[in-house]
Amino acid sequence: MSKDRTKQRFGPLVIKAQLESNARRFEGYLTNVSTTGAFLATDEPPDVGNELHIRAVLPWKLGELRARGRVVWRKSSENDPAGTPILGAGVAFTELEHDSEALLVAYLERFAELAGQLDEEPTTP
Amino acid sequence: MALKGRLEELNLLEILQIVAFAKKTGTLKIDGTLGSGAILFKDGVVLFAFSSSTTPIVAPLAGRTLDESRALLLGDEIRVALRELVSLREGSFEFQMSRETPTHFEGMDVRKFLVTEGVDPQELMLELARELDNARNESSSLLESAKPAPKPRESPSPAALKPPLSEKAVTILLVDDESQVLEIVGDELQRAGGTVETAESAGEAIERLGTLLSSDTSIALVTDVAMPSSSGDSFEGGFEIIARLKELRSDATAMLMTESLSPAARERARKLGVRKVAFKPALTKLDADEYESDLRSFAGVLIHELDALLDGDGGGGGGVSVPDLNHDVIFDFLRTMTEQLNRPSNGIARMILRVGSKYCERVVLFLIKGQTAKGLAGLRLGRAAKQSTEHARTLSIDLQEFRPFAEVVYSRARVKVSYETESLPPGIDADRAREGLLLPLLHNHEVLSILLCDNPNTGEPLGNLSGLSLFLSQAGMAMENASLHRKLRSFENRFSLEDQGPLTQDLDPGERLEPMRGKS
Repeated sequence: MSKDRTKQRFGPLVIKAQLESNARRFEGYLTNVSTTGAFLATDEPPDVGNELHIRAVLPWKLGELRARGRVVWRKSSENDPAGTPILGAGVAFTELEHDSEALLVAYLERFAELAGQLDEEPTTP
Repeated sequence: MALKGRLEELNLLEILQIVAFAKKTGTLKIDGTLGSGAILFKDGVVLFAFSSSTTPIVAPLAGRTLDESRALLLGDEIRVALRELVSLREGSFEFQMSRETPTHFEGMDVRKFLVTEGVDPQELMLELARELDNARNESSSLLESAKPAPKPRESPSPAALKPPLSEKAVTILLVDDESQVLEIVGDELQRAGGTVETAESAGEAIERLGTLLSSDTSIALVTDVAMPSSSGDSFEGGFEIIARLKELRSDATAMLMTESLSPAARERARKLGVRKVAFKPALTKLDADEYESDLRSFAGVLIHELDALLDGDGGGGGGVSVPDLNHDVIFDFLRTMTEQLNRPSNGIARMILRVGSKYCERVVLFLIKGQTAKGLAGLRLGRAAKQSTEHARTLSIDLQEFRPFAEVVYSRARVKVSYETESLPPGIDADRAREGLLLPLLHNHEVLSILLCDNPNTGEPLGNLSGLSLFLSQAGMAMENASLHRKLRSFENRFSLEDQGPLTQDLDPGERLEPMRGKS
């Protein structure tokens, strides 16, 4: 898989993350992760414009993702009271610290490689 | 090509994500060591799930038209099945793709089972991930709680129902210079049916021996080691009493109680024909309730061992074969502590520290929270438990800044640390220790906690810690079981309340189950 494909927003990736924003520490889950941003699923999403520090352990012993980001949109119970049960915020990465970009690419490539095993046509009806 | 492999390498959450991402249709079969099941997909969304426990419930509904209540039941069963399958971490899986939506599974017509629009995989996976985290958090709380064990008085043990010492024609002479030990252990020995006399000093014990033996009474001596001798020139008065007993009656049963046993003391005990040593709890003296609770637990071990000795399993006499006292004691201690894990609310952290302290001079238990290892409790030989734990609670180690901790978290395996080449985290002083071992406590195959073990007092190399590793693995399982039991109780409560009418009960929001929501 090329690096360009990793910039696509992937669907159901779920990675647990520790976050800090305005001196508040909380936990959430990153989904739709790419190298440019992610959706942060959390019950109390931070406000649009807030800066975030994100830390998340990637699976398969790849290591820790450390990133800084900014909230670009927000889905809360106030602005979507009847809607989706998944509350959270869209986060654009502003900085991938240390070797985080390489780790993230490795993770997305590994994921796509596994998904690629399902690319062939099914043999059963 | 089908996606197949081992759950140890790719867990179910990851597999679900891959199938959802690839938007595939087919059947994922899981054959785990602790259960099995299957998940049916259409274009990456989950249509149904079976597990070992739900299949017998849903099978009778196969092929039938479902009314609303049965449809709700099926919705619940999908969740139950997925929970069970996600918890499987060992076994094999295979995703078999198909062109059409699966309609049969294991001979069942499942067409009526399938959730019409499927279940939103993102919502599903977030929910499952949250459930796993909640279980982990519950276990963290369990580790952090240190409630004292309930006193045996409050719930009579099986031993109390049939006193093991009641038929022994022997007087137990219990000797300790600590009055609380005499009072509590003596009380438990009596409750176990023993005839007990006590002495609070070596001199008093030797005098009592003379009196008892002159009346031809059979004696079982149970004595502390560390107390002043009758002359006051030694602090191993326990050995003096045993030596005197052996002079008077060489075949008498003798058992030692001690907080620790040096190699020299062990050798001396062997030479005196002592076959058993019981370790007293020395760790919680600053907390009176905990200490009493520990003493009563200790008395249980003592009674068990004494019972075995008096049943003819050797009472001394310096027989030909001399057992490895240390091995026996550690084994018995581990067995007792493992039994106590059945009541994890009694304070698992304390149990871990007690076991760890039998293997090394310092143990520090850390809780892994995100990317930080936070000190939870500690013990160090020669220091008060309270002081060690207060110090442990000041420790906060960034995993990335002390790589061995991160290595344990990522590898989920023990890591040996050379203090000569690795700089220690702030707050941890190597003192004389040249090496340490970091042992993981796993919960649902993730590292929940790390135990640091080393020998800062003597600098001795670490010995074989396999018994400690085994205990940690048992502790992890005990916490997983406790979490599972709470879930099961929640299910039971829910169903019993539902039977009585509408859902009006107060349920923990995290436990409340709603009908399965279709993809919108």
